[in-house]
Amino acid sequence: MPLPSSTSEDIPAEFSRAHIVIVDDDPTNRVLLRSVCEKLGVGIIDEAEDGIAALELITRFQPDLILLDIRMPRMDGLELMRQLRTNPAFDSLSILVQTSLQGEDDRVRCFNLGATDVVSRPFHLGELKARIKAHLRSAISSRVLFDFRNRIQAHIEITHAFLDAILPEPEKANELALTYGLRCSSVYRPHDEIGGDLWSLRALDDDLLSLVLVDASAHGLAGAINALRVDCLVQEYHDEMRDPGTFLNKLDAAMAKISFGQLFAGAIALNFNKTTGEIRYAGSGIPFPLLASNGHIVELKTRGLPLGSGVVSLTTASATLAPGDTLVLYSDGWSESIAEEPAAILGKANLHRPDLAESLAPEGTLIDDLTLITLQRR
Amino acid sequence: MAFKFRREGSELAIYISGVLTFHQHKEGEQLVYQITTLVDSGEVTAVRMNFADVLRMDSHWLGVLIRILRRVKEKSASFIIEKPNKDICKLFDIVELNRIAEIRP
Repeated sequence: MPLPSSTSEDIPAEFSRAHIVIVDDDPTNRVLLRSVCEKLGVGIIDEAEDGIAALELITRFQPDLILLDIRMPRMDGLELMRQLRTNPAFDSLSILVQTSLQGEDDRVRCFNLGATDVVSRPFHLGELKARIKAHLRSAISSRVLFDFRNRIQAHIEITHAFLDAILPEPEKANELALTYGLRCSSVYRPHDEIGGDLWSLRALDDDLLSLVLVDASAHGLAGAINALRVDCLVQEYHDEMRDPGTFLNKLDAAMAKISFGQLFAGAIALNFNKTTGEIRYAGSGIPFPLLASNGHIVELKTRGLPLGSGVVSLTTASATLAPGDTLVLYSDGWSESIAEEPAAILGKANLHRPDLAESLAPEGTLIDDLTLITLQRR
Repeated sequence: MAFKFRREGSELAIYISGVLTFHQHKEGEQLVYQITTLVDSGEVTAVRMNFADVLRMDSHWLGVLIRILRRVKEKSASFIIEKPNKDICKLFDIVELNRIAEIRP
């Protein structure tokens, strides 16, 4: 049986970086298989005489493809496949079984134990070569995707850390709120692994506590980048928070200037005076906050185009948070993911729960980033 | 989502359908490019966007609309959004889009 002729033009250059492990107790078969792999330009070819030696090699080097015999001493090919497939690290490892077992049941058993493909002995070398090529191509594509996924995952984790650093921890936010006579509960749940919502709770002075909630356009990594850009501006203009309308107007102008028409955000900004109970607020492009007072729920209506449009012109409104009253602020991720109107849900809630925000948030998959903050005056 | 254009003299009618979220951002960029190109050419002096078949819209697409609106206004063309559903009307109400665009039920 002559080896098929091989032309260099149909061999992908990536094969020179590919790694194949030949597992066969017969030295003649190993020589033959090595020869096929060499003709395909495979860069790294290792050999093992049985399953135990192969398992060590595979675990150590994570090759692209295994050419596996079934009948071997010490550990046979079936047991090797069983052990490999119980390890998630080898879920996508390509295993090409070459066997003299001809029965349908034997072949089905190979597939059930995790074979990617089965080729019968004696080899038809042209077919064997074609199958090795196909599986190597697939393995290399998987590796490229796997590497890409790992790089993106690393970027997401770094961005996640940036966001974690600027988002308030619920317990610390509550500790700060308590010094102003408020109890604060909060939920932050991104739609993807990371999101474009952002909020902050900061002291303006001994009497005034400020809160800003921003829903930046986009989700995921893009949303998080937008949120971080907006946060820089929130920090820069924070002193303007004594007048929330002015603060948001300045934020809008600054965003329009830097974003080239690509960065938009809905936002609500407010400050609370612990002596008078007055809330001064302004919002733009975000659902109206809800004020629960004496069994009634009212929307604190405040409207405007999303920040970043460059034409926002808000004035500050005022309301009173009396002792026992609860104020709820949220991004549209809440209203979009609940079946009822937000006011109806709030009307049925036990407003005195310390974990009020958590109790209002829906379970399950979100269709948008969700931030929900409650402030209750003690 | 999908959109199709229809020219009626100097008016450009755009019929949009489906869900308009961040996941359709490429289509959004395409829409901004096509509309602004036609408006910039001076051939179009009125833009009418039909939302009758739009099921849902998020804040990303609000940004898309605002970008289109800005350019249309810069060229002194008119801009009409017609037949948005109840939820989208609510969104437009929150952002006071009716201050800068004509919205027809």
